[in-house]
Amino acid sequence: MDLRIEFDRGTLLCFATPAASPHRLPGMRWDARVDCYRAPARYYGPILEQLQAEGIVADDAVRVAVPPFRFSSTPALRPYQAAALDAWRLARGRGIVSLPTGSGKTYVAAAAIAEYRRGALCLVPTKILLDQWHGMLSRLLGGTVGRYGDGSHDVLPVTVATFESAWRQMHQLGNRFDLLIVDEVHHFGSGLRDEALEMSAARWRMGLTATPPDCDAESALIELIGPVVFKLSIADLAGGYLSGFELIELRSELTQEEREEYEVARRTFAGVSDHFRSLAPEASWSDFMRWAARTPQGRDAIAAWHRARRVLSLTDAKNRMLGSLLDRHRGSRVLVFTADKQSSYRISLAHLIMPITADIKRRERDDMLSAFQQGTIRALVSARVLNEGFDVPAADVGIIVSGSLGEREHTQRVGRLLRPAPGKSAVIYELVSEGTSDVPQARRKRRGLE
Amino acid sequence: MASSSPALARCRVRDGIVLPQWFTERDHPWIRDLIETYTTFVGAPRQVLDERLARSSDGPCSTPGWRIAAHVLDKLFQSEIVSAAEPRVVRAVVFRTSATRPPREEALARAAEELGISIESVESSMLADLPGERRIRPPDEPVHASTVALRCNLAIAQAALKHSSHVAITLEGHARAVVRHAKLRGLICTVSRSSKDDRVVLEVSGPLALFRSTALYGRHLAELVPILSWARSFRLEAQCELRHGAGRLTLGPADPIPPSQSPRLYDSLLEQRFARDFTRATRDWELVREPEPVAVDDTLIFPDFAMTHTRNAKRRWLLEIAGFWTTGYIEQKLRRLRACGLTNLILCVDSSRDCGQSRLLPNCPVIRFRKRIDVTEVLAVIETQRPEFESRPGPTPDGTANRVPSSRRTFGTEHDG
Repeated sequence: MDLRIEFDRGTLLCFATPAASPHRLPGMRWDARVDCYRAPARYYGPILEQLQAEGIVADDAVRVAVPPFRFSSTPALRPYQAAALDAWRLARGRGIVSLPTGSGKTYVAAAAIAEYRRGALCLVPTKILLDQWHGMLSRLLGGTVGRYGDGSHDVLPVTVATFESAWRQMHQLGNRFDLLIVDEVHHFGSGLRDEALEMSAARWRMGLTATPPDCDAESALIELIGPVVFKLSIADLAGGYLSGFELIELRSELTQEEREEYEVARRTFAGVSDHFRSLAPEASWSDFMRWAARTPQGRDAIAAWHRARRVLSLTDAKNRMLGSLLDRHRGSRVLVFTADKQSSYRISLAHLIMPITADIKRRERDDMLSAFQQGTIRALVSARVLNEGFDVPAADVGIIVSGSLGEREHTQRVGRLLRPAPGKSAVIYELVSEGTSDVPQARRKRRGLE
Repeated sequence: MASSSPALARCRVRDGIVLPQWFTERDHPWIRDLIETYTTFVGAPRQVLDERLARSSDGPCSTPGWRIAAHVLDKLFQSEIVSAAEPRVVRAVVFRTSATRPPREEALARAAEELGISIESVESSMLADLPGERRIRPPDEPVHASTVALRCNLAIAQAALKHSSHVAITLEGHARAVVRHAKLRGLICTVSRSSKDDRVVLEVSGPLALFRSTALYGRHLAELVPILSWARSFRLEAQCELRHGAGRLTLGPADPIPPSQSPRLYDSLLEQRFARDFTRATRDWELVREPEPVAVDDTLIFPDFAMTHTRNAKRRWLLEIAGFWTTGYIEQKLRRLRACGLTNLILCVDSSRDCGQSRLLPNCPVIRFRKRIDVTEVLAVIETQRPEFESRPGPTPDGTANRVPSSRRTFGTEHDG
């Protein structure tokens, strides 16, 4: 055999005779450190395809032996879920499925695993989702699923891992799975976590999201996962497979003190921001932040922007309005969303609502979520933890006090309230401060739901 | 990939050279002020200090240097929970009560009664375990401006190295710790001798360095800096891809970087336990941690322990513990050991990472373990079996033992473990 490929810490080593011309293989470069060719592990699939196309038989030592795939169940899919799986399959098992929150993305993933019957690694952003996916896949597939992250290191043919653990350990895990499923895939495409996808040799890749990646991340994600192959929005499913909902915007005024603080901060920020826009009209927000961080004036502007956000995160009027809404919906299960943890804690103390944040330990969070589910506590308040993937089907009222992450965050928060239940119709309040950046932001966020 | 960390902002690039803006004695006065601020808030909730710092950071104190120093002080001034009752229990009672007793005051009164504490204590305990509510503790030791400045310098050097993909280190003494770190972190390390003098030259890089710098391996390269200070002399060079330009970073003993804590004797609890169990179990054998490396084929291997009989030094065994391993790795390692005729090496493998016994060499003892290495099994091997030949001491990278003729060695690949 002229050619042998091995996995080496997130890369592929290729040992070959010159006749085999390994330099022609996708991603391969000569590595003088070890006297052989090397490629990032993500090229494993394309390399095999090229070898097959050229009729070259290689000694493939990339994959390690893993216990046999033993799962008994295949989840039943709704028509749109089956269509999503078909679209992904037609894209040769590489692509992103975009479905609204609550529409059952995990079912699509489980069906793909059951169909391919190969080792699968599912990456999720948080420890909470690690638990949720682990439980869901075990139930849907009818077998034991591994957990990697949050203190667990069980690697089984089907394993769920957090992004963080995957990033740290993919150099060791990268050759154990043929199928890579990435939940909330919009987190990838422009950061260090991309390294985890690069160091994986999985040939088939499925990204899942409720909010497709933006332009900056899209091209990187096409390389690492594949293009968006199926997309439905909340509007496509609301009232049918998702619960119907009413979105109510409630406006309020700032106090004089808040207004003064807000205006001073806004003017400080606008002075620098407008200057930057005139220099670079096409530049992104992150470009601005990097540019501003270099000068004292720029840093002052960033600090002013944070001050303005702090003012709007929980104004006096919003706080009073929140109290009234909580009273009005005393019989409902209410989720309150804020822009930051500090606002969550202030609300927690003022209205005696359980905060769900990353500071609260997993066991307590689980206890409180089941208490919420059973109705022994009436409301939860959160900044970000409840945004993604958290399964709280009982919730039927949402109060968005403030946000920090724009349209994507808003779509996810609304989706949190739309898990279907018999006779359920959700009500979502958005609290907006008149004459501030809240107003145009609320308009943009609404558009994101269409 | 680059980030906008304050430490990175203290690295300028001029004419292709990275110029770290080190903290010097001129910075000590304002660092002392900052230490004073932290000290003033000892006993206060952390968020009160944070608010005070946020006010400072809006003004002239918003420089990257100030933010680095504040970050260093955050680690020195830890916080603790102060509360009348366990916050988690308080929360469970309060939120349950508030669902059935709506007015806030009534819910708090009922919760206070149930918990047996005052209403004020209920309110102050509810979130007392959260980071912002924890009370600032005095540092374990007095904090000096000079110590903080040195730690800040380490952060600056490491920030730059995190954005490199390859470092070249020339050093005298203590090379083993650097090589060992590289091996543990999955870095590729080539070793050669300097042509001018007899110093060791290490070239260290991550497997993906061929394609781009990565945060994962960049972080591991940065971890080398404090280890270097244990060498008699060193020079580190790295090409860094910073956001505001690429440049070469050079570090040497004259740079104001603090010495690290002395390297840990053991890499894991497993090794520590084995050493303790072994020395308790026998006095006939002397156990040596990190003996000299052994030349095997074209590389060196670094056994974790050597065991020498106290009355017969020729009876000597080496022991290596394989952590995470694969069948291919073990096979390859054993093939290489067999090729060079090394039979006095005991390999300990974790049973939870299964490898068929039939694949392993019959004349190379392999001991399987689960969580703890059984010392009696090791003693059974070394007391009853005779290696086919005596051990062959190899070179140490810093030249304190026998040397091998070849001038270049590669470590840290899958092939040498």
